[in-house]
Amino acid sequence: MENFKIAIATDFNDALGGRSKSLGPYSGEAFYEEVLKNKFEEAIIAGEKLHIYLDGTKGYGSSFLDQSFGELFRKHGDKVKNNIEFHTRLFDWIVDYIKTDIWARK
Amino acid sequence: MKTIVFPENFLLENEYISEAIETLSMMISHNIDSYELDFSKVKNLRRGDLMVLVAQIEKSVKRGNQLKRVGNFQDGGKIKLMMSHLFSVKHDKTIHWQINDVNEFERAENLIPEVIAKIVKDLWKIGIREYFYPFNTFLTELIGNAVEHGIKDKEINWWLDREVNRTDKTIKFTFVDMGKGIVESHKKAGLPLKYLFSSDSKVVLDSFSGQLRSSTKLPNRGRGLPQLMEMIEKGWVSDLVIITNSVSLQYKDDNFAVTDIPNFRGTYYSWNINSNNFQKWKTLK
Repeated sequence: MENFKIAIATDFNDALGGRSKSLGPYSGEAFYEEVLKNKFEEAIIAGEKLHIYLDGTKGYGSSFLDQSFGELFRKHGDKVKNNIEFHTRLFDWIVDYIKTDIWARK
Repeated sequence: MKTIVFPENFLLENEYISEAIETLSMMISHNIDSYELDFSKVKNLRRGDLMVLVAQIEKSVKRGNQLKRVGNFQDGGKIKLMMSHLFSVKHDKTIHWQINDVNEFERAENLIPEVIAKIVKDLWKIGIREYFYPFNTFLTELIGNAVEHGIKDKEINWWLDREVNRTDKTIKFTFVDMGKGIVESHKKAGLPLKYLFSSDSKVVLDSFSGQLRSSTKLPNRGRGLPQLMEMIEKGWVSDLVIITNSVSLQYKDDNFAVTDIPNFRGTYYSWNINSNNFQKWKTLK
Protein backbone atom coordinates (compact mmCIF):
# COMPACT_ATOMS: atom_id res chain seq x y z
CA MET A 1 0.00 0.00 0.00
CA GLU A 2 1.52 3.30 -1.11
CA ASN A 3 0.06 6.07 1.00
CA PHE A 4 2.60 8.60 -0.11
CA LYS A 5 3.49 8.89 -3.76
CA ILE A 6 4.32 11.44 -6.44
CA ALA A 7 3.84 10.79 -10.14
CA ILE A 8 5.95 13.67 -11.44
CA ALA A 9 4.26 13.87 -14.87
CA THR A 10 0.74 14.16 -13.46
CA ASP A 11 1.38 15.75 -10.05
CA PHE A 12 3.74 18.42 -11.45
CA ASN A 13 4.30 18.53 -15.23
CA ASP A 14 5.35 16.21 -18.05
CA ALA A 15 7.87 18.69 -19.53
CA LEU A 16 10.39 19.77 -16.92
CA GLY A 17 12.61 22.82 -16.73
CA GLY A 18 15.96 23.72 -15.26
CA ARG A 19 17.28 24.65 -11.84
CA SER A 20 15.54 27.73 -10.48
CA LYS A 21 12.21 29.48 -10.88
CA SER A 22 14.00 32.54 -12.22
CA LEU A 23 15.20 30.54 -15.27
CA GLY A 24 11.77 29.39 -16.41
CA PRO A 25 8.67 27.33 -15.53
CA TYR A 26 8.53 23.83 -14.02
CA SER A 27 11.96 24.11 -12.46
CA GLY A 28 13.56 21.84 -9.90
CA GLU A 29 13.17 24.58 -7.33
CA ALA A 30 9.41 24.81 -7.98
CA PHE A 31 9.01 21.02 -7.83
CA TYR A 32 10.89 20.90 -4.52
CA GLU A 33 8.93 23.72 -2.93
CA GLU A 34 5.48 22.90 -4.28
CA VAL A 35 5.45 19.12 -4.27
CA LEU A 36 8.45 17.13 -3.08
CA LYS A 37 9.35 18.77 0.24
CA ASN A 38 5.87 18.59 1.76
CA LYS A 39 5.11 15.07 0.56
CA PHE A 40 8.41 13.77 1.89
CA GLU A 41 7.92 15.38 5.28
CA GLU A 42 4.38 14.00 5.51
CA ALA A 43 5.69 10.52 4.72
CA ILE A 44 8.42 10.80 7.35
CA ILE A 45 5.96 11.92 10.02
CA ALA A 46 3.73 8.97 9.15
CA GLY A 47 6.74 6.64 9.26
CA GLU A 48 6.28 5.57 5.66
CA LYS A 49 8.22 5.65 2.41
CA LEU A 50 7.63 8.17 -0.36
CA HIS A 51 7.22 6.51 -3.77
CA ILE A 52 8.37 8.56 -6.77
CA TYR A 53 7.11 7.64 -10.27
CA LEU A 54 9.45 9.04 -12.92
CA ASP A 55 7.86 7.82 -16.17
CA GLY A 56 5.55 10.00 -18.23
CA THR A 57 7.85 13.02 -18.39
CA LYS A 58 9.91 14.06 -21.41
CA GLY A 59 13.19 13.79 -19.54
CA TYR A 60 15.23 15.17 -16.64
CA GLY A 61 18.07 17.67 -16.67
CA SER A 62 20.81 17.49 -14.03
CA SER A 63 19.93 20.93 -12.67
CA PHE A 64 16.29 19.98 -12.12
CA LEU A 65 17.33 16.83 -10.27
CA ASP A 66 19.90 18.60 -8.15
CA GLN A 67 17.61 21.44 -7.15
CA SER A 68 14.86 19.01 -6.13
CA PHE A 69 16.21 15.65 -4.96
CA GLY A 70 19.61 17.16 -4.16
CA GLU A 71 18.04 19.93 -2.10
CA LEU A 72 15.95 17.40 -0.19
CA PHE A 73 19.12 15.44 0.59
CA ARG A 74 20.95 18.57 1.69
CA LYS A 75 18.09 19.31 4.08
CA HIS A 76 17.32 15.84 5.43
CA GLY A 77 20.53 13.87 4.83
CA ASP A 78 20.54 10.08 4.80
CA LYS A 79 16.89 9.92 5.79
CA VAL A 80 16.18 10.69 2.15
CA LYS A 81 18.15 7.70 0.88
CA ASN A 82 16.25 5.34 3.14
CA ASN A 83 12.77 6.69 2.66
CA ILE A 84 12.40 7.33 -1.06
CA GLU A 85 11.65 4.58 -3.53
CA PHE A 86 11.85 5.27 -7.25
CA HIS A 87 9.69 3.53 -9.84
CA THR A 88 10.54 3.61 -13.55
CA ARG A 89 10.73 1.55 -16.70
CA LEU A 90 12.29 4.36 -18.76
CA PHE A 91 14.64 6.30 -16.54
CA ASP A 92 16.91 3.77 -14.82
CA TRP A 93 19.92 5.96 -15.53
CA ILE A 94 18.23 8.87 -13.77
CA VAL A 95 17.79 6.77 -10.64
CA ASP A 96 21.47 5.76 -10.81
CA TYR A 97 22.46 9.38 -11.30
CA ILE A 98 20.47 10.59 -8.28
CA LYS A 99 21.78 7.82 -6.03
CA THR A 100 25.41 7.67 -7.11
CA ASP A 101 26.11 11.31 -7.90
CA ILE A 102 23.60 13.71 -6.38
CA TRP A 103 23.19 11.83 -3.11
CA ALA A 104 26.84 10.97 -2.88
CA ARG A 105 27.79 14.43 -1.65
CA LYS A 106 26.18 17.42 -0.07
CA MET B 1 29.48 55.72 -38.05
CA LYS B 2 31.52 52.59 -38.74
CA THR B 3 30.98 50.44 -41.83
CA ILE B 4 31.31 46.70 -41.36
CA VAL B 5 31.82 44.78 -44.58
CA PHE B 6 30.78 41.14 -44.24
CA PRO B 7 33.10 38.67 -45.98
CA GLU B 8 32.28 36.64 -49.07
CA ASN B 9 32.27 33.47 -46.99
CA PHE B 10 30.51 34.28 -43.74
CA LEU B 11 30.96 30.81 -42.29
CA LEU B 12 31.80 29.67 -38.78
CA GLU B 13 33.92 26.80 -40.00
CA ASN B 14 37.28 25.82 -41.48
CA GLU B 15 39.48 28.62 -42.78
CA TYR B 16 36.63 31.14 -42.72
CA ILE B 17 35.92 31.09 -38.99
CA SER B 18 38.44 33.77 -37.91
CA GLU B 19 37.21 36.34 -40.40
CA ALA B 20 33.57 35.64 -39.54
CA ILE B 21 34.21 36.05 -35.79
CA GLU B 22 36.24 39.21 -36.27
CA THR B 23 33.39 40.68 -38.32
CA LEU B 24 30.84 39.78 -35.64
CA SER B 25 33.03 41.32 -32.94
CA MET B 26 33.10 44.67 -34.74
CA MET B 27 29.36 45.06 -34.07
CA ILE B 28 29.90 45.31 -30.34
CA SER B 29 33.11 47.33 -30.25
CA HIS B 30 33.30 49.89 -27.49
CA ASN B 31 32.67 53.60 -28.01
CA ILE B 32 30.82 53.25 -31.30
CA ASP B 33 27.05 53.42 -31.34
CA SER B 34 26.25 53.49 -35.02
CA TYR B 35 27.11 50.89 -37.64
CA GLU B 36 26.54 50.40 -41.33
CA LEU B 37 26.32 46.72 -42.25
CA ASP B 38 27.41 45.94 -45.78
CA PHE B 39 26.29 42.47 -46.91
CA SER B 40 26.96 43.08 -50.60
CA LYS B 41 29.96 40.73 -50.79
CA VAL B 42 28.36 37.78 -48.98
CA LYS B 43 28.07 34.75 -51.24
CA ASN B 44 28.17 31.84 -48.82
CA LEU B 45 26.50 31.41 -45.48
CA ARG B 46 24.52 28.69 -43.78
CA ARG B 47 21.22 29.25 -42.04
CA GLY B 48 22.96 28.60 -38.71
CA ASP B 49 25.55 31.29 -39.41
CA LEU B 50 22.81 33.72 -40.36
CA MET B 51 21.18 32.95 -37.01
CA VAL B 52 24.43 33.78 -35.19
CA LEU B 53 24.52 37.07 -37.05
CA VAL B 54 20.92 37.79 -35.98
CA ALA B 55 21.82 36.95 -32.36
CA GLN B 56 24.74 39.37 -32.51
CA ILE B 57 22.53 42.08 -34.02
CA GLU B 58 20.13 41.59 -31.11
CA LYS B 59 22.98 42.01 -28.64
CA SER B 60 24.25 45.10 -30.43
CA VAL B 61 20.78 46.68 -30.54
CA LYS B 62 20.21 45.88 -26.83
CA ARG B 63 23.40 47.83 -26.11
CA GLY B 64 21.78 50.83 -27.74
CA ASN B 65 23.61 50.71 -31.06
CA GLN B 66 21.94 51.88 -34.24
CA LEU B 67 22.34 49.65 -37.29
CA LYS B 68 21.87 50.48 -40.95
CA ARG B 69 22.17 48.31 -44.00
CA VAL B 70 24.16 49.55 -46.97
CA GLY B 71 24.64 47.99 -50.40
CA ASN B 72 22.56 45.32 -52.04
CA PHE B 73 22.60 41.58 -51.58
CA GLN B 74 24.34 39.27 -54.00
CA ASP B 75 21.95 37.86 -56.54
CA GLY B 76 21.13 34.22 -56.09
CA GLY B 77 18.23 32.47 -54.52
CA LYS B 78 18.34 31.25 -50.99
CA ILE B 79 20.78 33.68 -49.37
CA LYS B 80 19.16 36.71 -50.90
CA LEU B 81 15.74 35.50 -49.84
CA MET B 82 16.79 34.88 -46.25
CA MET B 83 18.68 38.13 -45.90
CA SER B 84 16.10 40.25 -47.69
CA HIS B 85 13.48 39.08 -45.24
CA LEU B 86 15.61 39.68 -42.15
CA PHE B 87 17.33 42.85 -43.24
CA SER B 88 14.86 44.82 -45.27
CA VAL B 89 15.43 48.58 -45.13
CA LYS B 90 13.21 51.60 -44.84
CA HIS B 91 13.79 54.73 -46.92
CA ASP B 92 16.23 55.98 -44.28
CA LYS B 93 18.21 52.70 -44.64
CA THR B 94 17.69 51.76 -41.00
CA ILE B 95 17.31 48.04 -40.71
CA HIS B 96 13.63 47.38 -40.30
CA TRP B 97 14.07 44.68 -37.73
CA GLN B 98 11.73 43.72 -34.96
CA ILE B 99 12.69 40.68 -32.98
CA ASN B 100 9.12 39.41 -33.02
CA ASP B 101 9.25 39.30 -36.82
CA VAL B 102 12.08 36.78 -36.79
CA ASN B 103 10.21 33.51 -37.13
CA GLU B 104 12.93 31.47 -38.78
CA PHE B 105 14.56 30.33 -35.54
CA GLU B 106 13.57 29.12 -32.08
CA ARG B 107 14.51 31.60 -29.39
CA ALA B 108 13.65 32.57 -25.82
CA GLU B 109 15.12 34.44 -22.88
CA ASN B 110 14.58 31.54 -20.49
CA LEU B 111 14.19 27.78 -20.39
CA ILE B 112 10.73 26.76 -21.57
CA PRO B 113 10.18 22.98 -21.26
CA GLU B 114 7.35 22.94 -23.80
CA VAL B 115 9.63 24.46 -26.47
CA ILE B 116 12.24 21.78 -25.84
CA ALA B 117 9.63 19.01 -25.98
CA LYS B 118 8.47 20.37 -29.34
CA ILE B 119 11.99 20.45 -30.78
CA VAL B 120 12.53 16.81 -29.76
CA LYS B 121 9.20 15.76 -31.25
CA ASP B 122 10.28 17.25 -34.57
CA LEU B 123 12.71 14.34 -35.00
CA TRP B 124 9.80 12.48 -36.58
CA LYS B 125 10.68 14.45 -39.73
CA ILE B 126 13.74 12.21 -40.15
CA GLY B 127 11.95 9.01 -39.22
CA ILE B 128 12.54 8.92 -35.45
CA ARG B 129 9.05 8.05 -34.32
CA GLU B 130 9.71 7.33 -30.66
CA TYR B 131 10.49 10.08 -28.18
CA PHE B 132 14.27 10.51 -27.92
CA TYR B 133 14.47 11.19 -24.18
CA PRO B 134 18.24 11.87 -23.97
CA PHE B 135 17.90 14.60 -26.57
CA ASN B 136 15.40 16.36 -24.30
CA THR B 137 18.00 16.22 -21.53
CA PHE B 138 20.72 17.39 -23.94
CA LEU B 139 18.71 20.50 -24.87
CA THR B 140 17.67 21.16 -21.28
CA GLU B 141 21.34 21.14 -20.19
CA LEU B 142 22.40 23.32 -23.10
CA ILE B 143 19.67 25.91 -22.69
CA GLY B 144 19.83 25.82 -18.88
CA ASN B 145 23.54 26.64 -19.03
CA ALA B 146 22.98 29.40 -21.57
CA VAL B 147 20.29 31.06 -19.46
CA GLU B 148 21.99 30.60 -16.09
CA HIS B 149 25.52 31.58 -17.07
CA GLY B 150 25.15 33.51 -20.30
CA ILE B 151 22.14 35.62 -21.16
CA LYS B 152 20.00 36.09 -18.05
CA ASP B 153 21.57 39.37 -17.00
CA LYS B 154 21.77 40.67 -20.58
CA GLU B 155 18.07 40.24 -21.44
CA ILE B 156 18.89 38.64 -24.77
CA ASN B 157 17.69 35.35 -26.26
CA TRP B 158 19.28 32.01 -26.88
CA TRP B 159 18.78 30.93 -30.48
CA LEU B 160 18.34 27.54 -32.15
CA ASP B 161 18.10 26.57 -35.80
CA ARG B 162 17.19 23.25 -37.43
CA GLU B 163 18.11 22.30 -40.97
CA VAL B 164 16.19 19.19 -41.96
CA ASN B 165 17.73 17.05 -44.68
CA ARG B 166 14.99 14.57 -45.60
CA THR B 167 17.21 12.79 -48.12
CA ASP B 168 19.96 11.97 -45.62
CA LYS B 169 17.41 11.78 -42.79
CA THR B 170 19.54 14.12 -40.70
CA ILE B 171 18.81 17.31 -38.82
CA LYS B 172 21.63 19.79 -38.36
CA PHE B 173 21.14 21.87 -35.23
CA THR B 174 22.84 25.14 -34.46
CA PHE B 175 22.55 26.77 -31.06
CA VAL B 176 24.03 30.02 -29.82
CA ASP B 177 23.92 32.31 -26.83
CA MET B 178 25.77 35.60 -26.97
CA GLY B 179 26.57 35.64 -23.27
CA LYS B 180 30.07 35.66 -21.83
CA GLY B 181 31.22 32.27 -23.08
CA ILE B 182 32.35 29.29 -21.00
CA VAL B 183 35.89 30.49 -20.30
CA GLU B 184 34.91 34.05 -19.45
CA SER B 185 32.17 32.80 -17.09
CA HIS B 186 34.78 30.82 -15.18
CA LYS B 187 37.25 33.71 -15.19
CA LYS B 188 34.64 36.14 -13.91
CA ALA B 189 33.76 33.80 -11.07
CA GLY B 190 37.44 33.20 -10.33
CA LEU B 191 39.24 30.20 -11.76
CA PRO B 192 41.05 27.83 -9.38
CA LEU B 193 44.73 28.72 -9.07
CA LYS B 194 45.90 25.73 -11.06
CA TYR B 195 44.18 27.19 -14.13
CA LEU B 196 45.93 30.54 -13.82
CA PHE B 197 48.15 29.91 -16.84
CA SER B 198 45.94 27.38 -18.60
CA SER B 199 44.77 27.80 -22.16
CA ASP B 200 41.10 28.43 -22.94
CA SER B 201 40.88 24.95 -24.45
CA LYS B 202 42.04 23.38 -21.14
CA VAL B 203 39.32 25.29 -19.27
CA VAL B 204 36.62 24.20 -21.74
CA LEU B 205 37.77 20.57 -21.92
CA ASP B 206 37.96 20.30 -18.11
CA SER B 207 34.48 21.84 -17.83
CA PHE B 208 33.12 19.11 -20.09
CA SER B 209 35.04 16.31 -18.40
CA GLY B 210 33.84 17.46 -14.98
CA GLN B 211 37.32 18.25 -13.62
CA LEU B 212 36.43 21.94 -13.47
CA ARG B 213 33.02 21.84 -11.89
CA SER B 214 31.27 25.18 -11.97
CA SER B 215 31.71 28.89 -12.39
CA THR B 216 29.09 29.44 -9.64
CA LYS B 217 31.53 28.02 -7.07
CA LEU B 218 28.71 26.12 -5.40
CA PRO B 219 29.76 22.56 -4.56
CA ASN B 220 26.63 20.95 -5.96
CA ARG B 221 26.91 22.60 -9.40
CA GLY B 222 28.64 21.90 -12.67
CA ARG B 223 27.01 18.65 -13.70
CA GLY B 224 25.43 19.97 -16.89
CA LEU B 225 28.45 20.00 -19.19
CA PRO B 226 29.68 16.54 -18.06
CA GLN B 227 26.16 15.26 -18.75
CA LEU B 228 26.41 16.66 -22.27
CA MET B 229 29.83 15.07 -22.67
CA GLU B 230 28.50 11.67 -21.71
CA MET B 231 25.84 11.87 -24.40
CA ILE B 232 28.40 12.99 -26.97
CA GLU B 233 30.74 10.10 -26.08
CA LYS B 234 27.89 7.62 -26.31
CA GLY B 235 27.16 8.83 -29.84
CA TRP B 236 23.66 10.10 -29.13
CA VAL B 237 24.54 13.23 -31.13
CA SER B 238 27.11 13.50 -33.97
CA ASP B 239 29.55 15.98 -35.49
CA LEU B 240 29.56 18.29 -32.49
CA VAL B 241 31.30 21.65 -32.82
CA ILE B 242 31.71 24.05 -29.89
CA ILE B 243 32.92 27.61 -30.31
CA THR B 244 33.42 29.70 -27.20
CA ASN B 245 35.83 32.52 -26.40
CA SER B 246 39.16 31.81 -28.10
CA VAL B 247 38.64 28.12 -28.80
CA SER B 248 36.84 25.97 -31.33
CA LEU B 249 36.39 22.26 -30.57
CA GLN B 250 35.32 19.60 -33.00
CA TYR B 251 34.43 16.15 -31.69
CA LYS B 252 35.66 13.48 -34.06
CA ASP B 253 36.86 9.90 -33.60
CA ASP B 254 36.28 10.02 -29.84
CA ASN B 255 38.40 13.13 -29.37
CA PHE B 256 38.15 16.88 -29.49
CA ALA B 257 40.23 18.60 -32.18
CA VAL B 258 41.13 22.04 -30.85
CA THR B 259 41.61 25.19 -32.93
CA ASP B 260 42.58 28.61 -31.59
CA ILE B 261 40.36 31.40 -32.87
CA PRO B 262 39.74 35.11 -32.24
CA ASN B 263 37.57 35.74 -29.18
CA PHE B 264 33.96 34.72 -29.75
CA ARG B 265 31.98 36.30 -26.93
CA GLY B 266 29.31 33.68 -26.46
CA THR B 267 28.83 29.95 -26.82
CA TYR B 268 28.01 28.21 -30.08
CA TYR B 269 27.16 24.57 -30.62
CA SER B 270 26.31 22.69 -33.80
CA TRP B 271 25.56 18.99 -34.08
CA ASN B 272 23.71 16.46 -36.21
CA ILE B 273 21.10 13.90 -35.27
CA ASN B 274 20.06 10.97 -37.42
CA SER B 275 18.52 7.57 -36.84
CA ASN B 276 21.95 6.06 -35.99
CA ASN B 277 22.15 8.28 -32.91
CA PHE B 278 18.72 7.14 -31.84
CA GLN B 279 19.59 3.48 -32.46
CA LYS B 280 22.75 3.77 -30.35
CA TRP B 281 20.63 4.91 -27.44
CA LYS B 282 18.03 2.20 -28.02
CA THR B 283 20.71 -0.50 -28.15
CA LEU B 284 22.37 0.73 -24.97
CA LYS B 285 19.03 1.02 -23.22
